[in-house]
Amino acid sequence: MKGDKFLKGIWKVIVAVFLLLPLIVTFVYSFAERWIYILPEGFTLNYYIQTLTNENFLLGIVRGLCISIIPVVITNVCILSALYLVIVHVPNLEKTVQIFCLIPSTVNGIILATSVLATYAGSGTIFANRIVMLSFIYCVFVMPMTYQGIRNSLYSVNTLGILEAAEMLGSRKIRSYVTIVIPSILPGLLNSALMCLSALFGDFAIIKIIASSQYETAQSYLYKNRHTDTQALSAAVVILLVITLIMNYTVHRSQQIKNEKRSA
Amino acid sequence: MSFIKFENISKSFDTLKVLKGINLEVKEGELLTLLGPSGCGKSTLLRCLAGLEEVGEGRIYLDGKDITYVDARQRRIGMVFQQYSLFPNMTVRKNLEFGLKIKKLPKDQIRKEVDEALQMVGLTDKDNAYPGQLSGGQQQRVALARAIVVKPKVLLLDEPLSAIDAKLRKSLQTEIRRIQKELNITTIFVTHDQDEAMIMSDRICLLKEGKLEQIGTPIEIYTEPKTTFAAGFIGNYNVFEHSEFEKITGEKNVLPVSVAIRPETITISKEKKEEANAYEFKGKVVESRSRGNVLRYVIDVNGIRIEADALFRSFSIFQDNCDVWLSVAKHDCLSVEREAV
Amino acid sequence: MIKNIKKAGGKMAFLLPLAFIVILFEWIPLADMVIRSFMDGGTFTLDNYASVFTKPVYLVAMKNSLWITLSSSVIGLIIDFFVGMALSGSKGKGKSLYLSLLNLTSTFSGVPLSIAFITVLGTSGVFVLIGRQFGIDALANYHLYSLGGMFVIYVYFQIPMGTLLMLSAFEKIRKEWKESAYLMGAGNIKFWTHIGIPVMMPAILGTFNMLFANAIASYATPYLLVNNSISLLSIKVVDMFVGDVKQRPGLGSALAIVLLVIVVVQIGLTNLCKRHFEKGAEK
Repeated sequence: MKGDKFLKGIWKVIVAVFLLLPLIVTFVYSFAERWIYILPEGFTLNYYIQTLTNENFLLGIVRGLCISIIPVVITNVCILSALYLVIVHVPNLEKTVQIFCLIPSTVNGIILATSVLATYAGSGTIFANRIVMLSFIYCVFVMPMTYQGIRNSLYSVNTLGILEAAEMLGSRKIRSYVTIVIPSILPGLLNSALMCLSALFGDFAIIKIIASSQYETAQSYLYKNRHTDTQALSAAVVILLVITLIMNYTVHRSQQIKNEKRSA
Repeated sequence: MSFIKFENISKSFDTLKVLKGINLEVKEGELLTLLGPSGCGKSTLLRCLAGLEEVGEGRIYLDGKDITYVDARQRRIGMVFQQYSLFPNMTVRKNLEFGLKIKKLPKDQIRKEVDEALQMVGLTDKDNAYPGQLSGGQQQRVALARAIVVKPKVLLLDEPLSAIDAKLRKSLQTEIRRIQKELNITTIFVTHDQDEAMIMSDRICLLKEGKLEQIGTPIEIYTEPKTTFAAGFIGNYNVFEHSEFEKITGEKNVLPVSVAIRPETITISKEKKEEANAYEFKGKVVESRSRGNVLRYVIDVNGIRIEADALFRSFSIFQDNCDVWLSVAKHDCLSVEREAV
Repeated sequence: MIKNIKKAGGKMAFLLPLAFIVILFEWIPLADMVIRSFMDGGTFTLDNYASVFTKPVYLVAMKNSLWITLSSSVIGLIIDFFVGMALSGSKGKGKSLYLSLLNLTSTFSGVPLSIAFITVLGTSGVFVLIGRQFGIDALANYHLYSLGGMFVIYVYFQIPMGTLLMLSAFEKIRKEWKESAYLMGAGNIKFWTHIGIPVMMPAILGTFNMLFANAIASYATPYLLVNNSISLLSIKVVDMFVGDVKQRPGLGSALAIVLLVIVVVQIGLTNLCKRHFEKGAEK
């Protein structure tokens, strides 16, 4: 048993080192002054200042956040509305909605994006607009994750029971759905929404296919500047990681608060 | 001679001491119940015997041999857990075969012994079912069959019925007891349910906070509790401090010990009976509850509440707030210690 | 079902927004893509598929994609399995720190991850420099910009999510099973081969599905590192629609459909296996 534990420990350490290595090197690099040999020659914050004052990069972050937030909101609203119908009025439509929402997990982003592009690019409709196209593709892309998050939350609070109880007290179902059920599952909702958000924020493939030059996000910025200073690039990578870290931390925090509330 | 012997067993989890020097002997072929509230260390003691927990201090002997540091796989002990112990990926038959295959028994013998064990628990027709397809009671019967099919020296049952609903539990209690007697297998049974302990055991060992509180046959434990804890846990005794007891009976010069009185030894009547060798005192009915064939009254005597039972008969029905006389024989007022000695 | 829908009547409108998006941006484009893959300038043809399955460039792309996907998924799964196992046995601060690391690195993918690896193992990456300095040939001559070189990045992004999934599967292994098996004389290896792994098999296969889908659809990493020097299915598909060379949507659609079919077949196969292991979990 002792040897077993030792092996497991070694294994964990090896994998952790492997996972940490690119992170640490990037981190150290982003502070390095000049780095030609094995050790950097000094440390500086210049590359952070340079990157953080770069208008293109900052705009890229803002654009990336915008184009991620809008689809996440739209998808959440659509699925909340569809599941209301399923839970309250047509329970046997559940399978259909599930298939609707889970297909994109098989059809990957590349197929999704190229097919939409080929269908609507020259159509002359509003869908030919690349931003519109991108938003809707993102909606479909985050559908599986959003669906699962919302479904689990809705069933864990016994939605139908709450709605029926509220109806006995004289509140219409749709009203109590919006004022009671949705607020009570908000932590779970936020959790899956932030996970979707960070997935979209990290996307490069879809945006490259749909709007490569017209809509430059932070990811495209990184790609475009891949041949510039490694240090500046590393600083940008670290900044993007910190942003996703903040999103993750928010998820974590909201879950913790929820748990504390439940146990209190 | 004792078959299993625990000698001064102590055990801690981190800083928490769960077993504090337990000495206990189990005879061959008997069913001994470890009874106590949750957290009293009864399951830990059982797991120490099984070899699933390491003993902190002390020694364990099984069949004359010191097994304190013997690997659990070599102890030949069968165990039934509270629930979920069946392997979900195997059919009932495969679950039972598992231990026999490890012993490398010949195929036809495995078949025969599995059949016998299934018959014993009455599940011959379920041998190809998966655990997920069985009810909780059936699962526990399979778990029992799986534990006994390997012919262990000792059978350990760790609250095997606590996840089963009340009605089924009764029938499983008698079934376990029947099988245990049929096989004459030394068995240790862990439970927090005093009724269950009373029904099933040859002897009961009452544990409290990692210490042995009292040990004896069910009748001994029920009629002669040694401590306030035993009296409260087993028989729903009324337990009074000696000052309270003086207040109720008006009797002075009682020993400075606590007194325990079982509700069914108290008689309730409209008039004073003037019996010899009994305490009699007046009280007022506060409330009454029906418990099947028995009525339980809560009666206020000089500000102290006493519970008394009466069989459900027309002359024993009293309204709330009516005055009654209670009488209890002196020999039914047991003195009990505050702590185990 | 029809009766229920009729009863719901106007309330079916609640389904409209979702249906709108799914139909317009999933079903119609997909159907369109299937049709387009059989079309060439308005006439029905099988030429697109014929090219895909005969021209060496596409066959190589398929082969490369399948190779890097399968091997990185299998190796990733093995790593994930053992890390998950080691983590399920530990607790406390060390574990939660490890979980944070997994959560952090699970978002570390695509362009940023590839750039980080260029810094570590690229032509003038830190470890390549170290290799040169100390004469470690394997590091000094590491060629990140190749199929084998890229492999390390593929394995990297297979670890965090997969390990988290494996960990939750390990945590469903009940202590009682281990203890029962132990008391019946079974050791660790017997337990895992007879009970543990069979019980976890659906979760293991599910994790494999996810790893496979991730790897085969991976685009940013190969695009950044090898672009057109090594052909991969995902890159070829995109090239047919938005590439610098002449766009060939018919052929691109056929390639995309092939990519889709590979994923569907792979999921189908694992689901067949899954069913075999799930019979115990009925009810």
